[in-house]
Amino acid sequence: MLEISALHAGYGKVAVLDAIDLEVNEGEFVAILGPNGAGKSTLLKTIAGVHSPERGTISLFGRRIGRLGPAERIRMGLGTIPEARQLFSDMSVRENLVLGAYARIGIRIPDALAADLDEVFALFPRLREREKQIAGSLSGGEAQMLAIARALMGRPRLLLCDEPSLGLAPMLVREMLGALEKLREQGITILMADQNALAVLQMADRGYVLDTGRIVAQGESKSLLNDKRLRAAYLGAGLSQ
Amino acid sequence: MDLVSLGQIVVSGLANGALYAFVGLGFSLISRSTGIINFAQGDFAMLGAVLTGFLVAGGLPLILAVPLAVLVCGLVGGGLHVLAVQRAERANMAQLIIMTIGFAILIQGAVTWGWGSDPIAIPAFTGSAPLDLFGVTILPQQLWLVGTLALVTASMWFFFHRTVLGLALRAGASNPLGASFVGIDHKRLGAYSFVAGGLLGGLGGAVWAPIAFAQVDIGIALGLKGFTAAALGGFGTTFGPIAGGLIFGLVESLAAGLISSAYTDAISYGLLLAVLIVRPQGLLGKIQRGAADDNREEVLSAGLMPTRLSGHDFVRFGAAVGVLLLLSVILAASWKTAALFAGITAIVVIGMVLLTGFAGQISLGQGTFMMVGAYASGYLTLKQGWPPIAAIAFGMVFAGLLALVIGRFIFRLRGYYLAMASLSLLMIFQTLAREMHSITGGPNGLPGIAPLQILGIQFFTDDEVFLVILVATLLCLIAGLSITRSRVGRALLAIRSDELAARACGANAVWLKIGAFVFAAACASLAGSLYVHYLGIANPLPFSFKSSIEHIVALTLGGFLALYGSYFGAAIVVALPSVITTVFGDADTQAGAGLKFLLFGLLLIVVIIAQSNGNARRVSERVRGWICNGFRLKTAET
Amino acid sequence: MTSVHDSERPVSDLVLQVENLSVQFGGLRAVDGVSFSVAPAEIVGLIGPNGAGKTTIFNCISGVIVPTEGRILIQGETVTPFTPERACAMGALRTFQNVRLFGELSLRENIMMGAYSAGRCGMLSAMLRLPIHGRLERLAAERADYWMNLLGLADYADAGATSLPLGLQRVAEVARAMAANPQIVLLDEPGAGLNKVEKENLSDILRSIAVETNCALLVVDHDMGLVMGLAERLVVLDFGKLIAQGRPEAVARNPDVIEAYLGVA
Repeated sequence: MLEISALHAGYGKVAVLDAIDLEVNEGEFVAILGPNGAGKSTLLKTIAGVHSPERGTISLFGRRIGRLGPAERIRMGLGTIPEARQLFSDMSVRENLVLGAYARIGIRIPDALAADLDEVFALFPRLREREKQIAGSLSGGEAQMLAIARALMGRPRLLLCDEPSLGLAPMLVREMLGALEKLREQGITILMADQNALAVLQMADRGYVLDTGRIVAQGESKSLLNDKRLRAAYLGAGLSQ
Repeated sequence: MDLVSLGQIVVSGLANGALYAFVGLGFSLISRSTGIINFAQGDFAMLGAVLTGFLVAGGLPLILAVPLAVLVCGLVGGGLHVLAVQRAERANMAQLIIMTIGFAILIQGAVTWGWGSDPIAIPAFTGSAPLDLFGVTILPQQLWLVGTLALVTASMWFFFHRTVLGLALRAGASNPLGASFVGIDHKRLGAYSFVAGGLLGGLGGAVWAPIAFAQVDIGIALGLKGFTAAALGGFGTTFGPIAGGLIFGLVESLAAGLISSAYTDAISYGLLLAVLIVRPQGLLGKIQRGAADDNREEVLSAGLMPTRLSGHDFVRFGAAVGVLLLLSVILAASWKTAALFAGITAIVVIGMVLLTGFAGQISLGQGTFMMVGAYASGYLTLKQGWPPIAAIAFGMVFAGLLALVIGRFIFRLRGYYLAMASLSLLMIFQTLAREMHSITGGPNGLPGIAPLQILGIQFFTDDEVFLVILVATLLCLIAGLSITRSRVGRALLAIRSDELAARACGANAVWLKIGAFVFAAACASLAGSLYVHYLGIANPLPFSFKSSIEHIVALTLGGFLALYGSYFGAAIVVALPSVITTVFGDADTQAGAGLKFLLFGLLLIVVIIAQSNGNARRVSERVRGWICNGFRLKTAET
Repeated sequence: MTSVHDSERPVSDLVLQVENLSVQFGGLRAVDGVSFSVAPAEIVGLIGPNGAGKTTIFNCISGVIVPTEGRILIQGETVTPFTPERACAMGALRTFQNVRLFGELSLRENIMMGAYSAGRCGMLSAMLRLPIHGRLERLAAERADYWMNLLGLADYADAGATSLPLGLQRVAEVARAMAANPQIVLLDEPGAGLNKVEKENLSDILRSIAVETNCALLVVDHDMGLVMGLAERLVVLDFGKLIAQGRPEAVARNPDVIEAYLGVA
C-alpha cells in the first residue's frame, strides 16, 4: 500500500533522511522506532506531503505521490496525526473535526458530515461532551483523541501517527494505544513513529529502527525487541554490551 | 454644548467609524492569514468609491454600479496576490510590506491617471433628505453605511463559523502547520484573503462615497485610519476592527467637535501612536506568540558586506566626487537642479539604508524629520537670528531625540509597527505645521530664509549650493559607511541574519535599532535644512506622504544595503518626472502625476519580485558596477 | 560570599547552579523542581527523552525563557533579568541545535561577533572611530584568529559562514562562543546532523577546550553515544523531573533511565 524507496530529505544543509526504503502492506501495523532526532517526524511529514523530499520516490496504492499536495494525498486515503498534535487551539472541538474533512468537502459543510461526526464521537465519547469547547482547553489525553479523531474525519485507509504518546501519562498512553488497536480492527493500516519502543512493539507487526536518518534495523516486532541495535540506537553505541 | 449637537457628533462619528471598520476588517483579515500588513487596504476603499462614481457618471444605475465596483476591487486584491505576492515567495516580510506600498501607489497612480484627482459626486442610494431623530439629523446614506456594516458583520460571522472556507481561513491563522496537515493550501488562502480584503474595502468605499466625495487623495488617510481601527481592536481578532473603527470614528468626531477641528488629525493620529506604544495588541486582542515571527528566509542580500573601509573605498569616493564635479560643470542648468534635489533625497536615503537595510525597520515618515530640520533652520535663523550651522545642528539633535523616544517604545516589539507609527507621526507633524502659525507660519510657511552661510561664505547660486549638497552627501555617505563597516554595522547585520543568536553574543538589538533610527532621523533633518536654505521657504507641502513614497522608491531602487546606491536611486526618482514630461508632455498635469505614481508602484513591485528571485542581484551587480563604480567589493573579488 | 566584579577570578567554586527550577506552560509543568550544578572545566551532559524538559532548562539558562520558580546562578551571581544579553554578559554563551551562524557575515566576522560583549562601544564611537572602537576591533580580531587557528578554521576565514559544511559550522559556533571568553558554554544538541567522523572531531575539540581554558560545558543532547563519550557527569530528566545523575556508566545501567528511554514495558 505504501512504498518508499531511496528517500532523501533534509532542512537546508542539514540532511535528515538518508536513503530510506520502507514499505507498509494493507492491514499492517508498522512501527518506526528511534531516538529523538533520528528523522521519524521528517519521514512522516514527507509522506504526508507537508515536507518536500530532495529525491527518492513515495508510492501510495501503487501511484507515485511525490508531486501531489497534502490535500490530494488525504483524498487518496492518507491520514496524519502530526507530532505535537497541531490542533487549532482557538477553535472548537467540532470545528477542528470539520476541518479534518477539509480535503474532501466543498465550500459548504455537507449535511452528510453529521454521520462522520457521529462515528468519531462513538469512538471517543468524551469528545462529544466537549464538542463546543475550545480545543486549547482540552487535557493532554483529550487533545490527543481529538488529533486522532480529526485525522479519521478524512476517512483514511492508512494512518500516520507521529509520537501519539508524547507528553501523556502511562495510563493515557495505554488508552490511546487501545483506541488505535480498535481502528486497526476496523481495517485501517497504521504507520506509527514513537520513542516508546517497548509499548509500541507489543502492538506492532513489524518495525523499522531509525538512527540519524538511516534504517539500522528492521524486522518482526518480536525479533526487534531483543535486537541489540535497537538498544544501541537509543542508549548509544558502546553501552549495549 | 447641548445634547443635540453632541448627538450630531456621535452620528457622524459612528458613520465615519463604520467606514474605518470596513478597511480595518480587511487589514486584520489579510494580516491574520498571511502576516502581511497590506498598505493598499485604504486604497481598495478609495477604488470602490471612485469606481462607483465613474460607473454612475457613465450612466450605469447605482444598483449595478456598486456591485460591479466592489467586484472589481475584489479582483484587484486577488490579482495583486496572484501576480505579485505569490511571485515573491522568498521575499521577507519587510519586502512584502514595501511591496504593498507599491500596490497602494499603483492604485492611486492608476486612478489619478485614469480619472484625475478631482472629487466625484455620487448620488445617495435612497435620496438625500435627512431624517430627524430628536433634533439630530441623520442622512439616509449614513444608515445605509451602518446597516451594510451590520450585514457584513453578520455574514462574516456566518462565513467564519459555518462555511468550510471560513473555518479554513481561521485554521490557517490559528496553526499554519496544522492547517497544512489537513490539506489547507496556504497560497490559495492568501489569495482568498486578498480578495476578501478588496471586497470589504470596496464595499465600504462604495457605500460611504455618497456621504462625502470620491477622491483619490482619501486612500492614504483611509488606510491609516483603517489600520488604526484594526490596531485598536486588535489585529489578531476577527471582529475587533469593528469596535476599533467605531471607537476611532467617535474619538475623531468628538475631538473635532469639542476640542478643535484644526487639530483633529493630530489628535486622532496621536491616538494611533498611543495605542501602538501602550497596547500594541489592541484593546480586544491578545499578544500573539510566534505568529508575528518572520520565518521567511532572508534574501535581501546574499553576498557578503565588507565591514571595513578599504583603500578601494577611498578610490571610489574620489571617483564619485570627480563624476559629480564633472557633472556640475557640464550639466545643463535644469539637470543641475535635478542633481541637487537628488543629492538631498540621497541624504535621506542614506539614513534609510541603515534603518531599513541594516536594522530591518520600515519608516514611512522620514518627512517628519525633514520637517524638523526645515523648521529648525527656518525658525531659528529667521526669528531667533541663529547662524545656519547652529540651526542645522539643533535640528539634527532634535530629530535624533525624537527618533530615540519613538524607537524606545516601538522597537520593544518585533514586527513592523514603525511603519505605521512613523506615518502617523508624519500626519501629526503635518497638522502641527499647518496650524501652529506663530512658529511655522501655517500653510504658507516661513518665506525669506537666507541662503546657507558657512564661515562667512554664502552659497547662493545653483552651482554653489550644489557644491554644499555634494559635500553634505559625501559626509553622510562616509558617516554611513563608517557605521556599517564597524562592529556596530556587523552587529546590525548579525541581528538581521538571526536576532536570537546575535543577542546571545551580547548584541543589544533594541538599542542598535534605535541607533540606526536616530542616524536616519539626523540625516533626514540635515536634508530638510539644506532643502529650505536652497528654496528660501519652509512649508509643509514638500514633506508630505508623497515625499516618503519617493524615499521608499529610491531606497528600493538603490538597494537596501547599498549606501553607494542611494544617490542612484534618488537620481531615478528625481529624474522620472522629467522623463515623463519628455515622453508624455506636461508632467504637472494630473495624468502625468498619476503616471509617475503608477510607474513608481510598478517599479517597487517588480524590483521586489526580482530581488526575491535573486535576479535583481545579477542585474544590479552589472548596472551598479558601471554607474556607481560597484558597491560590493568582496563579491566582485571572490 | 562577596561579589567580586573581576570576571577572570571565579567567586564561586561552581560555575553554574540551577536551584529548584520549575517552568509552567499553561497546564503543563515542563520542568519540575530541578536542581544541579556544574563545576569549572567540567563537562556535564543534560539528557532525557523527547519532552523531558531539557531544552526548557537550556532556554532558561540562556535567557530565552523566564522560569516560573527557582533561580539560576552563574559564578555565584543570580541571573536576572532573563535575557540572552544578560546571560552572555554573565559569561554563559550558547550554541544552537540548528546551527545559527550569521549568513551575511564571513566566518571570521561571525567569530568576531562572539567577542562583541568584550566591551561597550556605541554607534557614535563607531562612526567617529574613537580609540575604543579600534581597541575592541583589534581584540575581536585577535580572539577570532586565535580560535580559528586553534580549531582549524583559519583556511575558511573569508568564506560565507553558512556556505561551509555543517560539521565546520558546528565548530565555528563553538569558536564564536569561545571568543567571548565564557565561563560556561551551553551546547544544544551539538551532534545533530553530523556524521561519525565529524562527531568524533567535535568531541575531541570540546574535550580539549574544557581542559585548556577552564571553561565548563553543558551538553544537551539525546544522542547518548556522543554524550556518553564526552561528559564526565550526566544529569537525566524525564517528565520534567530529575531522575538520575552521576557518572555515565552508572547512569546507563540505572533501570529508571532505561525505562525512560525505551518506554514502559
